[in-house]
Amino acid sequence: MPGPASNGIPDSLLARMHPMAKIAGVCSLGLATLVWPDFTLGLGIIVVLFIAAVLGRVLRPFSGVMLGFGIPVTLMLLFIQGCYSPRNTKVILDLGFAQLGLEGSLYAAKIVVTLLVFLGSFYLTNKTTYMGRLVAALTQIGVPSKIGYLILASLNVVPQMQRRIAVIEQSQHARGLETGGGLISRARAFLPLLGPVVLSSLTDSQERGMTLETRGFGIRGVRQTSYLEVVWRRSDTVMTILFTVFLVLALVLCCLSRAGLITLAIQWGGRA
Amino acid sequence: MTEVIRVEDFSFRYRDADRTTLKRVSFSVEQGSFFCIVGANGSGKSTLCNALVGLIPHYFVGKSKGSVSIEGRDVASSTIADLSRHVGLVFQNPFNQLSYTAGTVAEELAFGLGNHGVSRETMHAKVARVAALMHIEDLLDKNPLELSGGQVQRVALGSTLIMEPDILVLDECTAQLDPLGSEEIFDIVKRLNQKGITVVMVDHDMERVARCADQVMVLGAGRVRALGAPEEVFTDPEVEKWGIDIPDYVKLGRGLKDAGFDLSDLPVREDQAVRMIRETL
Amino acid sequence: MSARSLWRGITAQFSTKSLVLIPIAVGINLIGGTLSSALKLPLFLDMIGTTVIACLSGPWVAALCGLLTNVFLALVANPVYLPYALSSVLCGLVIGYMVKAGLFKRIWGVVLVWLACALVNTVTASLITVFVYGGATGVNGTSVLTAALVVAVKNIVISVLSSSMLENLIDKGITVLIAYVIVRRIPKRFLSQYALDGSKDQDDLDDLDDLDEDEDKEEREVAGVPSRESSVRRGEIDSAAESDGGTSTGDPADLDRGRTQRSER
Repeated sequence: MPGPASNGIPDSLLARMHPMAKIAGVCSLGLATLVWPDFTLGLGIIVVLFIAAVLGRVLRPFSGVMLGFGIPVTLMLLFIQGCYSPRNTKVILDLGFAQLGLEGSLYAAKIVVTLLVFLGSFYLTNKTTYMGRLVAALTQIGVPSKIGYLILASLNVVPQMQRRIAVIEQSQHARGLETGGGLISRARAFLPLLGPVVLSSLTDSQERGMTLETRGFGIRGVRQTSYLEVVWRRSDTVMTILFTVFLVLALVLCCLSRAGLITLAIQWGGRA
Repeated sequence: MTEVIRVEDFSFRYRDADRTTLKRVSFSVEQGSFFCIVGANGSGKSTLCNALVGLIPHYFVGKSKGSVSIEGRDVASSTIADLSRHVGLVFQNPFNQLSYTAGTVAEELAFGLGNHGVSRETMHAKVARVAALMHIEDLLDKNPLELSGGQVQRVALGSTLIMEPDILVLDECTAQLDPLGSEEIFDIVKRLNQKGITVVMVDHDMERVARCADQVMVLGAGRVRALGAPEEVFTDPEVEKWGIDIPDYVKLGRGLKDAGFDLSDLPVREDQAVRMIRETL
Repeated sequence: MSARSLWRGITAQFSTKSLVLIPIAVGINLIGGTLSSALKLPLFLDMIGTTVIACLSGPWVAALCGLLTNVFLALVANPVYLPYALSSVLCGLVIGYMVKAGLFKRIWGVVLVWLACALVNTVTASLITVFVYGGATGVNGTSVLTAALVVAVKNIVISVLSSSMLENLIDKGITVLIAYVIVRRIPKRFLSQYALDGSKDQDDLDDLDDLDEDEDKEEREVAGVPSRESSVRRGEIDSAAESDGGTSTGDPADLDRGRTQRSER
């Protein structure tokens, strides 16, 4: 996990936003999309997220992730839910071996859109936030330091272990073991090398625990402080208020729609 | 001279172990001295180091007898966090002495202070001071995982010193480093000792031990086999059977003595050896 | 067991020693994924670490490890994994309590752990796939299988359950096997610092009774003279030697036999 100077986080409006404000955004946008009766709100939010990606200067990786996940899952769900959902009554497309139903497709669209909103907002938050600042912000509002430790340590330890494995994989390729040889021979070549990595990681943990203890980790009754300073600015208050208002509005409108007072869902056509 | 470490009849056995690792160890260390512990592998040196900082009994599980006190505090009734302000530990593997929560060296150094609730201004000041001491100012913005072993060990030493302990316990802390990294660490340790910090060092390099130590303790199979000034310990013929490779100078002196030269004392250090050779020639 | 003692039992599991294992167990979980893609298998193998940590630190730490694995994947790879945290947590608990009951010591116990884990994971993951995701999470092995089954069976829930069951039986079988092998290979010195299986009876055995005994024996050993004493700890090796017709304890074969005898206890 890189530090502020050497990481890949470009300075931008989003990067300067307080991590908790961004979390508020993720929750608000995600929940609003979830409760909305159909996929229209989510679609609008996705467009907003793309604009935010531009503001955060991460448009290219963002688009890659959104499309890379969005397209396959849309196809799969349109197929599974669209053709075979039990709630299908109206047909919009006849494929021969199956019929694409309206309700199923709408359901699939809603799911895809919700997933993409969560994925997009999560991804944007992740890519524009230095994790150390996020955990510092969480610690400030009282989240136990052990949880902060688990998040940060996983983000550091796991890539380090994966790098060790990657080195082993490369040495296997160099020995030409990728081509030729069935499953058994590959397993026999690969597994004995994983064993030492796993076992040495486990025994490493004992010394790492020693280090944590001698640095006073987990002292009770002491308010943790952070080296990093996370400043809450007026713009963060504004954004959080906007997010909250948005969510509340969405909830209110949905309740009204459920009660039948207003119609939110658009009527799509289709044969019965 | 005040006693800062007092170990009295201390014994320890790890849970489910075949034998007791430390047996009736007793010694004391005076303030500001340079105390070295030597011994073969498995003689209990690391266990003793862990006992000095409170990892035994608060982290490692096992049975113990006897007592260890640091600056008058009984280790068994203090906490590791309390003790860390009086005694610090640096051990062999540099990469196991990182918290893995820091994205930069500065955050890593401040980790212990954050756990103790120190204010941010104080943190920044202490980090700057320790970084200057360890010659790592240029590394403050770097990711600790991208540094070399020697650099990480300096960060580890810095993270320990930032708690401002009066005693430093070093468990073979240069064993995994290249000679340059090793020398850098050792220079810093020597300077710290000259400033008054008590150093307890476990090492295999006997020439270094002979050169710097005020007292040397030999551990063999969990017991204290010899304790005294380097001149006494290294010239004692019994000591070698505990797996200690005595300094070359002693072997040189013995060789000359066997050849018939009359020597007053056997040399353990370079300067003594030089003097001895001059005398004989 | 009262609620408070249960809570204290749970929080006691989260000592620094266990906490520091968790990121490593998460790493092992993810290495499983690397392994299966290297072997070109359409499996996950993402619970090896959870199983190992269940043996070391108990059910709730294993559950937290499962949760953290999914949170980590959600943060770093794809948030789609986040709801599946529920099945990781439940599996961690199930494995943890079964290991605590001692099932990992016998082969039939290992089989039980495998089946229980596969079952729990199938049911919870399928429910999540159907109700949160509508039946598929993208183009992966399980989803493709589900799609194929759906064409045949024309029922989404059954297709998801079947493809999940098949995947899980194979996946969890290999996972539990690998975890079992790893735990057996962990050095005893490390394992005993975590000993879960009520080591209260160990307290007496741990007594420092050899403080004075082998003072002479050690001096003689170092001097190269074989010891004539046979204290409790050397008993096994000696008896192995005697059963062979009285060969000396220095024979490597006897020492090996002695060691095997001890581990099978």
